[in-house]
Amino acid sequence: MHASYACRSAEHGMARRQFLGTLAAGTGALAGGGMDLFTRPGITAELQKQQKRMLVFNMHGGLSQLESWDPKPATPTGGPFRAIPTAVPGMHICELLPETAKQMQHLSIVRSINTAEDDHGKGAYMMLHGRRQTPASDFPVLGAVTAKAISPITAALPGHIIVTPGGGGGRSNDASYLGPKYASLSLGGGKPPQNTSRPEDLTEAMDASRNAFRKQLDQQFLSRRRTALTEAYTFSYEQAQQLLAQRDVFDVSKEPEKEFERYGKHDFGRQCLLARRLIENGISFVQVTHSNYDTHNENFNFHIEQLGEFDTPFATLVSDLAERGLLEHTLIVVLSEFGRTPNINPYYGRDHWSRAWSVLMGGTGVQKGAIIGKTNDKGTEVTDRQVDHGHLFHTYLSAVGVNTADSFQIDGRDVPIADPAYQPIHELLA
Amino acid sequence: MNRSQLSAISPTCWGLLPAVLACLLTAGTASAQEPLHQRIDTVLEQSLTGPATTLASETEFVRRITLDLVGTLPTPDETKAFLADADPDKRSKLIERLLADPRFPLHWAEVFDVLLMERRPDQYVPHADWIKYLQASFQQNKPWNALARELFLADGTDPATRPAAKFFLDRNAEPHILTRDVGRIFFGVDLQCAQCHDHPLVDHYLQSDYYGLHAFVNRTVLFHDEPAKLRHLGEKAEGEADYQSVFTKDASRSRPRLIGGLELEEPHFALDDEYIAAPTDKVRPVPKFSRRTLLAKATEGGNAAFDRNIPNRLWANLLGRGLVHPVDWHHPGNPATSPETLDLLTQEFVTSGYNIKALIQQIVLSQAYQRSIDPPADITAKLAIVPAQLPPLDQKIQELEATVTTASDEQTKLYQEMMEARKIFAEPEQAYQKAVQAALALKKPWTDAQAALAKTQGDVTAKQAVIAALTEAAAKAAEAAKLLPNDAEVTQASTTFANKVTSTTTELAALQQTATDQTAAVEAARVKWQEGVTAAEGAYQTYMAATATWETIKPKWHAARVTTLAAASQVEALRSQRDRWQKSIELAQSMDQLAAAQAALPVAQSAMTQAQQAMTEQQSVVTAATNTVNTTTQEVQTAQQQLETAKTELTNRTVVAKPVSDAMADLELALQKLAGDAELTDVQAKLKARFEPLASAIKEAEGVTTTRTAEHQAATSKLQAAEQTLAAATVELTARQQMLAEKTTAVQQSQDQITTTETGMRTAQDQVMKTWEREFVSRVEKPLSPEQLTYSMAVASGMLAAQIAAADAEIEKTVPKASVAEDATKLAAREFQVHQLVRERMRGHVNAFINLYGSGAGQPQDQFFATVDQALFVANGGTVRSWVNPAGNNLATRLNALTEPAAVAEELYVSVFARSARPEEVAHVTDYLAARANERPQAIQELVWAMLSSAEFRFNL
Repeated sequence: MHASYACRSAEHGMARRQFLGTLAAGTGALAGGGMDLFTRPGITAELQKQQKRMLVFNMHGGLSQLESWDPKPATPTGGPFRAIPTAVPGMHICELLPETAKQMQHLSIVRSINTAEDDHGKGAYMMLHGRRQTPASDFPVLGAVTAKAISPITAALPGHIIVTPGGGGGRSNDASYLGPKYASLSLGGGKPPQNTSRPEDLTEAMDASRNAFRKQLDQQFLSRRRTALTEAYTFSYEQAQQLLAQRDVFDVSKEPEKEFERYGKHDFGRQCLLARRLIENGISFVQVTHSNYDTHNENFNFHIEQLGEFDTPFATLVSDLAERGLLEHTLIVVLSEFGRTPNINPYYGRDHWSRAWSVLMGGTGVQKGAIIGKTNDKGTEVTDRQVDHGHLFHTYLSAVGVNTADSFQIDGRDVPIADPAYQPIHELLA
Repeated sequence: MNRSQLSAISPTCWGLLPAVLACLLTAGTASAQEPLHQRIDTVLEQSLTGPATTLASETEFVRRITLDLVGTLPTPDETKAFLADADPDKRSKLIERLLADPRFPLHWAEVFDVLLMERRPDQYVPHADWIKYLQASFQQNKPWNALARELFLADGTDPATRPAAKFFLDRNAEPHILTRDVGRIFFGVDLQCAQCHDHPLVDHYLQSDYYGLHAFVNRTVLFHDEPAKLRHLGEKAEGEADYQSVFTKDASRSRPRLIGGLELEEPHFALDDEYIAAPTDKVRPVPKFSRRTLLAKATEGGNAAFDRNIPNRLWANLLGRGLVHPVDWHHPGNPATSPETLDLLTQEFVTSGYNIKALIQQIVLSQAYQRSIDPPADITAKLAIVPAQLPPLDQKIQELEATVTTASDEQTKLYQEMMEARKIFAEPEQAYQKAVQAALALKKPWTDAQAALAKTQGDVTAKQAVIAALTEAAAKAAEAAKLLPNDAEVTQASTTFANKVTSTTTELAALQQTATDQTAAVEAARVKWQEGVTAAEGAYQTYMAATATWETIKPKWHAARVTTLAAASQVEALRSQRDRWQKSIELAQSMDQLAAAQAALPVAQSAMTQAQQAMTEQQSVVTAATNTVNTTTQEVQTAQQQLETAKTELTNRTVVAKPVSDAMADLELALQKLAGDAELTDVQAKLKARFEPLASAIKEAEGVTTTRTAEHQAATSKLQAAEQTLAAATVELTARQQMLAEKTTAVQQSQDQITTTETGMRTAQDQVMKTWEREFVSRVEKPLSPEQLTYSMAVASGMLAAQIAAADAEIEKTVPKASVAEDATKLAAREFQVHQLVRERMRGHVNAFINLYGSGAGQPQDQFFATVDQALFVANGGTVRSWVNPAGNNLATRLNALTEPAAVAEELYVSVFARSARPEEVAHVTDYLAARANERPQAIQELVWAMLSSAEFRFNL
């Protein structure tokens, strides 16, 4: 970003990229009885509205908990900023987030996170996978798990989208054993997803005509052989047709001008607006990355700058989702790979601190205006209800209605949805 | 035996399973002389629960076998030739031709690339080199054990064998990834979840199995050869596979141990004698004894897990599903659907010298391979014999369960003894480790001293060179001084040189002294290090002596585990067989239920019809009664009116008569007072005379009233009777209506019952069909691999023919066809070159398909998924569209040239579906073209596209 940071790990070069199935979360959607879904018309608008969604803000680089959700004003570690009251009586957050403060009645804070991992890559992996990375094992990322667990099998739109400043509309390799169907699609660089525009010499009528012939062939074939595989394959072309019809969903420029003014005419504002558009259109999982919080130097100036950019679009988005009734169905998470040291270093910076930091959550499935856990006066240690990435991962998924004690069926094998050694933070769940 | 018992006890060998099961199930006594494919069919026929379906049609066969053996759709010419061939042996002849086809090794190289590397991105060995290595291997039909051996042994240093090192190198030599992937890919066991504890879901995957494999690879390291800019494999001489369960806290250590085997013996070398090349920054470590090369033991025959892994995987590749499935999930709880078949395949594979091609040939010759995807036509006969199957199976299962319990108890007991025995050597082991550390601490002074000495020796050499130069210079200067005796400067220089020689020589002496001292120091340090080594060796001997008990118990425990596993495998195989029979029973039951429900319906329907009739009859009774009531009601009304009229008349007449009668009474009273009054008497007479007609009129009216009253009463009674009749009829009607409602409900219920049992029957049928597909009595549809899909689209669209022609022209430059036309071997080699070049040039296209249709890198690649982006790629992407455009003599061009719609349809279907068009399909194509007569070329492209994107094209049937 704008800063020249002391920490120059390779990852700072770019932001990290990391079906009615709602009710039957965790059952292998394609195995067994789910097949009929393909032959039914699309899910009703009402069901689509009730479809759970998750919207994750990844505060890349390590957001300072002290300059955000767990301020410690007037202490040696507290830094120069004040804590301000919020819409929730008794709940204070840092003054750098005045607009967000007005929306806190929708949101809750977990202040007692200790992930014991101060490395950017490893910390980010843990927070987005719910497990520690080990050499021989590879787990699917949160978005892939969410998409697999809650995306309707009939959804034409992809279930897992990462909004990036320069996204190229391609699929990445982050779904591990869940398979590429649930891998993330990067969006936001102005490019639509790949192959979503018809070639110039192919008119809509020609496309419809050839697809009608294809359908005729498929119907004939399916009358002989109708299995989950053949259904899924023929259905993928129907989904493609539907997606082509809805491709404006990915195009933020279709939003009215005044919305850009409300969200701010910068990358992050546009990304938030695109995120709203995607959530409104029923995408199961959307992740927005805000970069960069790795403030080893000039922590305070950079938090003024970064949070100054974050506050208004984020608060606008929360408020819009609440007003439109979407917050009832959408979980919002603001996470990071770790927090920042209470100790202020000689460069007015804060370094990596994973032992006592915070995550923000709100929306479906979680309490409103709650504070979970506590840190000590200087913010150096958790003093109450210590949790880590494992608990949080269970909590996110539980909030969108997934039974995290269940397993996915992968090729005849049971694979736990989340690390069985953990449970969700029950008292945070609504 | 329950799970907790099994996981509490512990280790490996489902090695005996196939043999034991073969005896146990006594399946068939197929003659050993029969070819394998016949024996497979015999075994399958005798042991499976379902009736076999018919063989695939010729068109399905030619498409299937060409896709499976050479990886592409047959060309239109190949299809036509096969269909036209009248030879009854044409299937086996086609198989032979395809096995000899240059595309066979090229396709199977790709299959094994995916199997071994799972589409990992290149790290240190380029895919181009690797695929050539595999292509060459399959071209010479390299036995699997030889190939595996090369993969295990190559270290990347020899350019000739470097590609074989890709398996290890491109996994960064990471020991845990290697443990997992060696286990999965070479032995068919995915032990990943047994890394930290015995497997939570699979009873028989133990942490000790994981570390037994880990011990082969955990000393292997990646070595960076900086000058060559290459990574090689090195191996250290130290590093143990130590482990502790995070659950039970049981800790242990394993020497290298193959799946199902005992720990392997390994030589011991003293600390100072472990390496051929000891590791330094610049030296690739090479130990005297390499654990990794010990992996090659698996390839020497006798390791059941290794031996059956590839037969099962080849079967899975060709039939769409492993006998054991998933293919890396061999364990007793997941038995083969036909253990005898897997056993047959494995035996044949081993006796044939791990001959992949020969095994493929036998598999594809089997009827099991050649079956149709349609379910068996008649299933009732088979279902009839089902119930008799279960009791003997249940009996066997019960007996074997007892055996399993006994065996696992024995295993548990021995495990505890083994753990006890570990305590005996805990101290000596620690002492040995301390001694090793102490010795290693002494090594550094020695190496430091050596380094110091080497430096001094370097200095000495340098100094000697200086002295030599100075001596020469001094001699020359002295000579010059002699020639120029009066030149002071020259004399001075000569002296200077002479002095310099002297002083430098002194310095050299000092250095030499230092070297001597240092040599002594090196020797002293060496002696110390040697003493340390000797001490460590002593400690090692003590340690080894202390492990004797442990070492004695280990094989016993292992043997007990083998017994447990064998018994558990048998039980599970039988249970699985029982489950499959059970599915058939459920189907038979649900078919009976459906039949009963269907039979019940007409009965209910006729009861409903009767009730309907009775109800209708009663309705007319009620109607009649109602009419009567109505008529009678009117009669009553009429009588009522007449009665009223009569009463009125009577009243009127009475009213008229009353004054007269009153007057007569008054007159009577007056006559009593005025007795005899004549006038009065006269009046009385007149009155009487007047009264008499009035009285008789009243009487008459009274008579009428009486009659009318009687009539009214009669009518009223009649009405009451009619009303009673109606009420009774109505009650009866209600009863009959209820009856009808009941019967109607019964019919509805009967119909619902049919629907429910039908659904149940279909579910049961699906289950049975799946079971039968698992037993290979019918075929599953196999999705084309990304490679097969690419080549098939390229063949169908005619794009590949152009590629082949171009490659042929390229090869023609170096190997003219005419030059090798006489020599079949050379000609074949040339053909191979051509197709190899085609594959090389097609790689970019193949990669585009892999990106969308392949599973994630490093994940198993046999999972099917269909995504929107695949469909969008085919629909709108440039690749497929460009192939569909007319070019050269491709399909679109050929179709454009055909005028008859029927000819277009035939060429289209033969080229894309490898079969003829059926009449209705010809009609569809004709209609399509007719509707787009003025856009014919576009319409043709659309047809080609639609067929390429259809389900029939996507799957290998």
